[in-house]
Amino acid sequence: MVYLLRRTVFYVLTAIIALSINFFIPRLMPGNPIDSLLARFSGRVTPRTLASLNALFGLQHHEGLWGQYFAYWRALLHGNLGISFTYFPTAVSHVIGASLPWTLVLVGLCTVLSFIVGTAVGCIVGWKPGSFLDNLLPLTTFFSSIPYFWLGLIALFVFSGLLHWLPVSGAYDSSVSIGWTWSFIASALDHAILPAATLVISTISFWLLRMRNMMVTTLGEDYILLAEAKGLSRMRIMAMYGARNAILPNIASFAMALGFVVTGSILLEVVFSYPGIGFVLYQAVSNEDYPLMQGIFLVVTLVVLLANFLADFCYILLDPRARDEA
Amino acid sequence: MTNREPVAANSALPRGATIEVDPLRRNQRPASDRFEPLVEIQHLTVEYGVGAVAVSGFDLTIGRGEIVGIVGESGSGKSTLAYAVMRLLREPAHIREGRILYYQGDSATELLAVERDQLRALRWSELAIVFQSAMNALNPVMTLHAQIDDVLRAHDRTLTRTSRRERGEELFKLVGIPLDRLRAYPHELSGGMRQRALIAIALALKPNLLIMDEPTTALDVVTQRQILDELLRLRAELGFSMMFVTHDLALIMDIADRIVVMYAGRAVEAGGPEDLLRDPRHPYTIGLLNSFPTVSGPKRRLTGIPGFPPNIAELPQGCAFHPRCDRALDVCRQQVPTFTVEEGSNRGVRCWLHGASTTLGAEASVAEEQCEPAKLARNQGSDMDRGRSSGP
Repeated sequence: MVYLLRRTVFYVLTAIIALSINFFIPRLMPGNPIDSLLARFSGRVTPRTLASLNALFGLQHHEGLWGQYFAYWRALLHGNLGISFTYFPTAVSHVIGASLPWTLVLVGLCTVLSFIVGTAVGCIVGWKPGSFLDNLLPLTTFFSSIPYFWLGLIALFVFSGLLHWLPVSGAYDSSVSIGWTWSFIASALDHAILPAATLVISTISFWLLRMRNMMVTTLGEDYILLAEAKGLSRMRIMAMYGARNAILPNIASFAMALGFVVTGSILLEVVFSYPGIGFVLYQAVSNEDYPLMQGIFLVVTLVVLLANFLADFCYILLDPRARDEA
Repeated sequence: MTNREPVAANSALPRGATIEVDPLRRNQRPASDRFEPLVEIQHLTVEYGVGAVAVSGFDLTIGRGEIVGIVGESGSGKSTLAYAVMRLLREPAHIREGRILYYQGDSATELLAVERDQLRALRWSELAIVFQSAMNALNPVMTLHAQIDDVLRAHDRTLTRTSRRERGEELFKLVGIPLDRLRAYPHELSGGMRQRALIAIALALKPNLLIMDEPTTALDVVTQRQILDELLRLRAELGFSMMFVTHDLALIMDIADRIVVMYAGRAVEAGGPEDLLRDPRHPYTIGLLNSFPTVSGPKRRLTGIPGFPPNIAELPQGCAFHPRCDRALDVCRQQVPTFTVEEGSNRGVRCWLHGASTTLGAEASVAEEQCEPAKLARNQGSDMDRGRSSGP
């Protein structure tokens, strides 16, 4: 418990530092977001509009850097992340709020699915190394060595372009309205199949291979031999003595992978024009949309920290040795 | 995983697992036998891959309640032998030849022929093993109680949770671990405690044979002594037999009823501890005895044994020990000596210097076939005076 408390304090401090860096880095860059906004409006802006824009973005020069910094924190704590340029005049929090769920559901579920299936298959393959199941390994390695956006492009070309089985882009059909209706869910699933399949196929080998190798290592342990000598059933030995120990290093990696759900999806969402947070980040970068970038980095920072915390917690839960070191 | 070691398919042995023991044969055993046979290893040969023979034509009978020490250097095949009896050998090790009979009442079970389910039932309830390193042998993510509990449950589904917990407490009391440690994880215990816990787990189902694979090697001398005393007390209390594998001749002399010295996969000398100490015959045994000091007794030079144990894949021709033996004869370089048992005793030696016949010829190989089996079991009461009760 003391350990968890200590970790919590550590993560809060890390978050504060990360968010401060998040504030300073864009301001160390030359130029000013208003200039780029003005460029987009190409001179059709009056000085009064400019002043109000400056006020809106919190860029009044008389405030100074520290003044801006504290204003930033005040705004942050109120959940006010500023106004996006790209989606002007929508608030950044609103843009993120609209895109994040798509990413969390699609990439999050795929990461979980990939981990569960990969680990389960890896466990079985590792139980009998050298059996015919080992032939799975080159196949999965092949798919994981292909860049997944390329795999995505091929999948799009074949299943959407040639066969017209699945939609090319988006997260749902624009003709259905968002809500818990069958037509919407069916449409969302239809649009998610290709990106989900691409993601699972390209990441599953990572978990499979790791679990298999850990399983093989674990099976060489004396406690497996002892479990066998005890006359326990094979299922019991495989689950409680083998997999239970072999999975430990993977738990931490899994939590880390969850942390990268938000950022890891950029290429995927760009390829499939999926309106998730990665796609929005891509838009923000191409449009020099600093408030939006800052907002997304904030989300990324928090998610990564949360995932790390989750990893710590799982480890303590699953490994009694970690509990005592704590 | 279970049962991975293949028993050679072309083995000429009968496949039936249960064998009726010829009553006549049982009656032929001399009345002076202190121990009724429990396990009889017959001509066991274990090979690693092809050609590397770790255990070669090994015969040994372990009596009920008897402690048999198996002594040898690293690579002498002693641990392989222990694992073979439990059928725990893993690839590339496999049993090429031999039988292991486990006596229950008037019938015997051939351990190498039993099917997986029967093997699983026999394991732990009849034969249990204690490994050298308790740290590695205990599952780090399960409490000690869970590791006792699962073996109880696996062998008797009718046991209630309460009775299993009581059994766990009983076992911990037996080996002298505070009961609150049942809830502990292996890493929370000291080395000695862990080894005791391992012994407690081994005793969970009251096995008749306890195989000890260097169970105290990793411990300090004081803890070692305590655990050995504990084992002797438990043996007296519960009456199990022990096959105690170790490289420590001094240690095994203290506790064993009978000692078999192994070299390069073969028994080279056998006898009671007193006999071996007073009158070692095989040059290898003599070398071992000269390798450690005695606490009491006259000062003498420790000589050790020159050279290294042979590679089992390239055993020298003849007696495997001859390159390291300062008394090697010509015959030693050519032919493996037979294991010759002294009439009416449990002493035996495999050495041309002590064989009944040192001539090359057909009788020698015939003798090897005939005089090895089971004679080792003939243990007379040479160590009765040592004041240890020995079970039933």
